[in-house]
Amino acid sequence: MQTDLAKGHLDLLLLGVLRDGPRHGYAVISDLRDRTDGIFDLPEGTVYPALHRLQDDGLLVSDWEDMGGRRRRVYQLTADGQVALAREQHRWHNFTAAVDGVLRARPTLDTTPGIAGSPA
Amino acid sequence: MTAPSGSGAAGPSRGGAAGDSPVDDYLDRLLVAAPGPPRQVRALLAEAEAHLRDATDDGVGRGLERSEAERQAVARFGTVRIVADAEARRQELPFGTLVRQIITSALLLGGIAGVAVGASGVVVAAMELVGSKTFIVNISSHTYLARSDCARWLAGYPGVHSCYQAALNDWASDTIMFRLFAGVLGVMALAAYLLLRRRRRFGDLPASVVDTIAVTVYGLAGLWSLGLGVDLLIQQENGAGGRLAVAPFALALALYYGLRLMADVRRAPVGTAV
Repeated sequence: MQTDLAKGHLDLLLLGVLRDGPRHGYAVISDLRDRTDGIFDLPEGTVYPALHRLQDDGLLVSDWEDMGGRRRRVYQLTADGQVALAREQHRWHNFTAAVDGVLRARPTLDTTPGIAGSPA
Repeated sequence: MTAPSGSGAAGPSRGGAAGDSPVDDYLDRLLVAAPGPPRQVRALLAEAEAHLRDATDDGVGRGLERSEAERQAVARFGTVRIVADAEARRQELPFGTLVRQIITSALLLGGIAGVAVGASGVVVAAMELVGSKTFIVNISSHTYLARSDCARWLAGYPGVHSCYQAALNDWASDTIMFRLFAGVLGVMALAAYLLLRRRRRFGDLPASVVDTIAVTVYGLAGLWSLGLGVDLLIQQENGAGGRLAVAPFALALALYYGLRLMADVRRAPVGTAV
């Protein structure tokens, strides 16, 4: 279920990592793994198509750079990406607040005869 | 893209000869399985290689043997099938985009067809001026004309006294007017096309698809009208001009799009669909 959750919100997670600055793919995935305490457990190779899709959508731009003797594609958020991140973040907070509201322990009713309906 | 090991490239993170390195084996299989145009495949492969080399270096840094570090890096990356499928899904055209492309391209091709029909209307009008109505309308004195229709046509042309002549006038007028109206619709469709193309979300279908449809539709229309016109001429029947007027426009469009299609095909990278 945790993997499904990560997969379902992969775009938000990727945009969130890249909010902190440009990164190449391996750094994005390492950040994601570290910051989610290992909950993020998708096949790492599937992150690249997701990054490419976000770039196709105009939310990221990328540039090839030589770093440490290797050619890497470095991604960064666009202005549209920042707007999309803020929007998705807002939706996520609303969603988690709603789930919290349902799951939060409510005071139970004491049904003992004579005091029925009184708060416990 | 960094060169795979076994190709002679040196470096601390390189494995041994081809076949000895899980990373190289993986990249070889990904190269074969990855979908898309060569440039996208190369980009994916370059990223995959940099990732796997980095992950291997991290594993070695944690004290793993290089081969074991490579094996773990490959395992975490996901199977070739999973990665290739994810990339293929990314490259799929969203349904909404496809619908918008179909609408845009239909406006273009339909608009051009409408303008061509409109132009044929001008030619038909010229034929009527310099020739006769019988050259543009397929009607003869032997054609059955219903009495109720005759009354309507004769009412429309008070100076004409025969049903045949009234029908000839009416059909010739309709032939020209309908074609000119199609031309106006064509111009409107092209204007709508140009307006939509200004929006980023509205693109055309791939050029080769548009060209193929255009060659087929315009070519068939041109040959059909040419065949009908020639047949009427051979049979010495009326109306040949009306059919023949469309043929040059349709065939010229088919030729233009045919040449474009040939150029598309010749420019396409070897081994790819256009």
